[in-house]
Amino acid sequence: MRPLRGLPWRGGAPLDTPFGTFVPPNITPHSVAGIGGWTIEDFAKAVRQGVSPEGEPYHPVFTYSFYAGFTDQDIADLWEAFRTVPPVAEKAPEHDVGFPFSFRSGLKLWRAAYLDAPDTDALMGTSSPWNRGRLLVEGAAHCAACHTGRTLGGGLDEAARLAGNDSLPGGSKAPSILAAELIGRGWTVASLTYALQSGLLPNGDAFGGSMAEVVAQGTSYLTDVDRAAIATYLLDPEGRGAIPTPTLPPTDTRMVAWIIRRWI
Amino acid sequence: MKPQWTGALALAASAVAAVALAHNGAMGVVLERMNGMTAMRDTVAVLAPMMQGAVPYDAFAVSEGAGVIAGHAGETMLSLFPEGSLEGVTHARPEIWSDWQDFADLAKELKTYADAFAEAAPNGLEPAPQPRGGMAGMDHSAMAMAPEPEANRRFTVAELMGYGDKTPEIPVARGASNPAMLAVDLTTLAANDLFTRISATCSSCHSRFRAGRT
Repeated sequence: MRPLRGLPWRGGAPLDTPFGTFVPPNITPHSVAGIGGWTIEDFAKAVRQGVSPEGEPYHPVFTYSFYAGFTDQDIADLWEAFRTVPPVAEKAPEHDVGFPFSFRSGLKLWRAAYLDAPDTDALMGTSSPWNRGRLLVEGAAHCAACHTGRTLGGGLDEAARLAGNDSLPGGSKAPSILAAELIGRGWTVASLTYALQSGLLPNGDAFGGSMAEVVAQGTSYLTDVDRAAIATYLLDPEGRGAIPTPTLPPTDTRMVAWIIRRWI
Repeated sequence: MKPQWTGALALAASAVAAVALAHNGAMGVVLERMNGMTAMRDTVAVLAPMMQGAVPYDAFAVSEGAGVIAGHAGETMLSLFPEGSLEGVTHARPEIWSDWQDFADLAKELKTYADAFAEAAPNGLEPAPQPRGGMAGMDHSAMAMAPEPEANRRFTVAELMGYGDKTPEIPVARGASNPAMLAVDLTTLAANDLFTRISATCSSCHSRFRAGRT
């Protein structure tokens, strides 16, 4: 995966959404253009509550709702990591969002309607990998942000959580990652763990779209234990402790092709 | 005709039929490049369990599979993407031609890694051992310690935050730069390291130049 263009954390690629175009801001430690003038308390409030140091709510395109359960230690670790980033003096462009979405106070209504802290507390009777997986999937990894459709108000469609989203910013799609569908597509804990490291699907295809970026810039940096925890939780979200073995998808021709090459 | 050949040919016929169905409507270079992508995908599917140590390592199969990938990469791949060839059923995006140099770099990167993968097949899942003796006076800076397998690597804060290079002995990872400029001899790497680079190159290309699929 090629690195994203530009200096790290200086502001990202614009996100085209039905509500307007959002530009991820400069979050390098530059004192004027970035977050160098913030305190760690400001940082904690921004990450866990989605509120700026000036008291304005952030647009939910910043996925802070998934980070509400971050511990103080998580915040301190992140803060220290961000402080090591070389500062960049260039401010990111402003969002291009029309009324009424440009009216930030209106976001308080959105928060009242949709903002819920993720449920990531350990569950009695489930395994350690499962609990770790839930913490990551529902929290830091924020899988639902892409793999769940949105309501007209831009909130997650909780009735179809992780059931896929055909309308991602930029026109791409995220498939369903519900356990039954993952298993139906041939995924196992081992293959999903490996995919989060390598970007390879069980049929030998390589992720494209946003998921290629998620692997290259995100999950490939996790430990194998954490990747396996994510896979365990996604394939057994109820925590039953048993994951059905998938049958090979009927469209999978890889063994046929391989046999032919070996014989002819 | 021996029974096994009859069986193999029957399998071949059904595979051809499956390919034709899968690529319903594709013709000419579009069909040809889809078949090439399918061949690479099937090869990767067979080799992936071997690269994870889930099935016994077979150096011959790895070398053969690497040859399949190399045979569809580089100039061969580029020749199947004449400008504007978007007719019929295709997953190609028009950015292939607007960003042709980037596309070409990825195709060549794939060829470089696949060629090295073929040569590194005997290494197995460990980097090639350093040759004994005869190294005095040589510049060892480009022949540093063997890199840690990708799945077990520990990253620095700079790497994790995206502003630091990957570990010095691996100046390229995930398609980060031109592999032809590498200081490290790719053929000394573990086969699974090269396989990871190949899959990263595929993902990188798919994310930019393939439409309609994740």
